[in-house]
Amino acid sequence: MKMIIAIIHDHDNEPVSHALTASGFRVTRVASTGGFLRRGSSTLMIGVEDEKVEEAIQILHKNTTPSDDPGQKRGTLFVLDVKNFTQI
Amino acid sequence: MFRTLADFHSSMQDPQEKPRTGNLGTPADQRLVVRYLVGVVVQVQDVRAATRAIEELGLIVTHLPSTGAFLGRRNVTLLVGLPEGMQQAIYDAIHETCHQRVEYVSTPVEGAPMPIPLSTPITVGGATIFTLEIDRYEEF
Repeated sequence: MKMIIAIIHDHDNEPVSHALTASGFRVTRVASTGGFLRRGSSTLMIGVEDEKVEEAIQILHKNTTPSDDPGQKRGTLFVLDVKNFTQI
Repeated sequence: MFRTLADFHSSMQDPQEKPRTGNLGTPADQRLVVRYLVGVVVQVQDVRAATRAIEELGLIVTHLPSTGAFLGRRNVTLLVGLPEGMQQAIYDAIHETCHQRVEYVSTPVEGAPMPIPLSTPITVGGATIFTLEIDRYEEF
């Protein structure tokens, strides 16, 4: 089990969360700030099975809008190992 | 200190700071492999100094509003991606900028016929640092 922590632009939150939910991932959004010129950003926490990490990351890649400036990043993600995960 | 998320965002703006032209990515000259995710819980009063000190190390900071600790006060959780070998540098930066403070809360005296408030000193603050190993890190 892994947890993906993805920090993305606020305006990408809606399409990304929608696409993840549609693919059966459960997403928790935390409003945050920092990074992108100190503008609002969204931090998403996604619990995934080991073999689904790649799929979730692909969804993140596909649903974040590319910036006009090639130097500008669309997001940052961390994948953490999770010892135990229970949904009740 | 911040009632809405907009307040929180604007409270994070440092008026003395020049507008930033960077982005989420680590500055190119310091592009190191990020190995750890560091979560730092700091008091609202220390956020600006701590953020500045961490950014001076060339790291990017994300803020999350949070609450907690003994008094349930508002605080801020900072998320930082940390390359190998920089642990001591970030601990030092946080150590220098986040202070413990004594706050007073009024507690009623037990057994008193009238509610007499008693000031109880409580030491709060400092900072809590969690360092987590990451399996994978990506900027896209």
